[in-house]
Amino acid sequence: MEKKLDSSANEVFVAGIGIITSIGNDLDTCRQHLTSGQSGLSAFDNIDQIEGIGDIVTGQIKSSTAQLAKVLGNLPNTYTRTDLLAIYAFQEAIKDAGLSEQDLTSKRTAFLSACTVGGMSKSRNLYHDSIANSNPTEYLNSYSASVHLHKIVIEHGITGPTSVINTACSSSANAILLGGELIRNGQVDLAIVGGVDALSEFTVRGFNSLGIMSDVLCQPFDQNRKGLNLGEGAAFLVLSKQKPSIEKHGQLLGWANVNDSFHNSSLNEDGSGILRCLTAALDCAQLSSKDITSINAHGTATPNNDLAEITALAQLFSDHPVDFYSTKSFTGHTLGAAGAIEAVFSLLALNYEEVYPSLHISTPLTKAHLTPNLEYKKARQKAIMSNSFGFNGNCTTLIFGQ
Amino acid sequence: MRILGSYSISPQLFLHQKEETVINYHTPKNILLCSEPDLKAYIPMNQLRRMGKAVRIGTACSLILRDRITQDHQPDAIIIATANGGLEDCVKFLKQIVTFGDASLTPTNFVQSTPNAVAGNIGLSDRNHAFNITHVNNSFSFVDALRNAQLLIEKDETQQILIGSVEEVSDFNYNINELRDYYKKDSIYSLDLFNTSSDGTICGEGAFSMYVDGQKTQGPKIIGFGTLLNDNPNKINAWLTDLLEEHKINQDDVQQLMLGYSGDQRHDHFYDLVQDMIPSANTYGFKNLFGEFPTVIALALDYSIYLLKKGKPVQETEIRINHRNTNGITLIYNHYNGVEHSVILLKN
Repeated sequence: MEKKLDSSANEVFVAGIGIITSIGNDLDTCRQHLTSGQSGLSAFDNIDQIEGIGDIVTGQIKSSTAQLAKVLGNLPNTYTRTDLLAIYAFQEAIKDAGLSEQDLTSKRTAFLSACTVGGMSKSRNLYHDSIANSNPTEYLNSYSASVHLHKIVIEHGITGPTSVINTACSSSANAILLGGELIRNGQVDLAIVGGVDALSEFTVRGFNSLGIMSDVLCQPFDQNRKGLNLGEGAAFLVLSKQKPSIEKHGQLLGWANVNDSFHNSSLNEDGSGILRCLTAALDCAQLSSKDITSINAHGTATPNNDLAEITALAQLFSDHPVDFYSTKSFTGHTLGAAGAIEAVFSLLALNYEEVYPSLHISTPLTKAHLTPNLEYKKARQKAIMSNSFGFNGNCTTLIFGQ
Repeated sequence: MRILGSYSISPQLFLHQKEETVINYHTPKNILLCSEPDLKAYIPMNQLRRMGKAVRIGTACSLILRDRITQDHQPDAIIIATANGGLEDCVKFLKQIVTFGDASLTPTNFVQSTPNAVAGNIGLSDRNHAFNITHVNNSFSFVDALRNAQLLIEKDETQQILIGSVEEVSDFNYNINELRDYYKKDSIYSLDLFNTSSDGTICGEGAFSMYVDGQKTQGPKIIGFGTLLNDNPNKINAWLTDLLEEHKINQDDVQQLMLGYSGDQRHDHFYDLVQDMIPSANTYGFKNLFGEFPTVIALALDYSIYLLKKGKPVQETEIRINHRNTNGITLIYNHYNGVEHSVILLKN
């Protein structure tokens, strides 16, 4: 692959953002919720008549799949909710960045997405087709995690490098990381990076079987937290080697991918794996922990995650306090989309110089002098850390700054 | 990047287990299943019992390779490619949902079904904290993994990177692909695949792993790769020509074509095009050995490495023989559904 050498090639600018979550389908609406402490979590409303999800709290996008398809130009039924959320956020991101057709079709524009559920959002259809000998559903070609990416690639004539990442709950953080690597390495000029996941019976029942879902509003970093709420959404960032003409979103300063290597579905509660990841990201960004002004934590609200995470943070920030919070108390855990959605919230916090609250906390989980941020506040921001940790030890940390 | 060593678990034993034995399958549904070596030495029994096939063969493949070539050296990155990961477990979990309704379900199938379980298990088995990622871009996943490894090597050429791939046959993909008319209706002998002229192909599975680095001077080298998402055959020539030019390779330098002929008359014309484009090269096929599945290009790479090393192909894989050398550059080209095209350039 052609490689351009440039001494200033270390900078990775964020030139555009597209987002859709349960707290808004644009940046301003998301920020209004974050600043006013208004959560998107609520009792599941079965707008799509999905079987088997039942009476639970979710961070659901309040448009039916049919409504989303209509808004996006009457797309056919074979587009799953996953595809539609991805297309929505992708279109917003390229519009925000002002990308031309030439930009999109250039070999030097990458498109890296992330997804865990894919077309399995049609869980019952998938089951039917996997055991049927006849009468297939119309979703036969819709199940793969790559379908949304391929639809977008064909629609926009994308010819540069592509991929879809699945590292469970850190998937889209890794898509962002790889986009950063591609730009820093000089292989591409632009990278559209992020991820998507829709609510599905498969994941709801899966997390439920692990006993880590809360039946009430999730309480990240509360001593009595009962588990996570699932959410859905999509977010894409346009990363650019060139400084955008109007600098509005900041820079991706550093990143790290480290494996906790402890257990398939839980983190090492001594925090050692996470600490390696945080430290490696600081090294990559050439920053010290003193430069970090706040942290958008992974904060799933499971007993295991929040303990492991606060333990690692307390070791890294052992001699000075730092603000941290989990925006999963607003959106729920959006799985493969979470890393990208939380990256976007980190960029909002950076640009508006503010710190968001962790909602629903009655008794804060504290460690040393660290305690989660409970109220919205203004505070000068230099560099913000965004953490994502997945099953199978897949830890990723991103650092954003001006 | 240079290949330090490779290993695969596939329907064929001759690559790494029993030389000279090429298995000719004849099964009712044209399914070629992996011949699994004894894995007990590599994975504890209590873990083996819990593992679905994709996780089992994907993890074992990497651990066996490490044992053979690097002994105690842990990889500096683990990069796995899989279109679907542990599908059998996915369907088993869906079956639990449908069968048991609101009752509490056992999570093993759910945890095993996540595609990153293979890379996770490899890391976990060594307590390896290194870079760990899983690409799930359907049939492009393996080339995406190569691109990912190349990026890491360009940052630090001393890194030894483990690249792997895995796909399993399960009810899920077999039934879904059958509903899509993907497989032949009549049962055939697998080694006769290239002599059939009907719709559909045969079904396979397999795991592959290799170590690569940027500083070794001997051994096969991956010099280029690419992907193209397009259903237009007219785009193939320009796409491959661009790739060869980018790497300053004349068409005559390509001495072997390793092509994904699948015996499906609806899609094999793409391979004829590539043969016509490089008329001087020998042409080999590989799907009569391994069957068709999304990441089969990884096994095509393993067979190409074998061919370079042994200098002697499996006779049944010869499609066009112009000369007796097995040197120079091997161009491996495969497509999935006539839409997802992948290419790898391998130099001895």
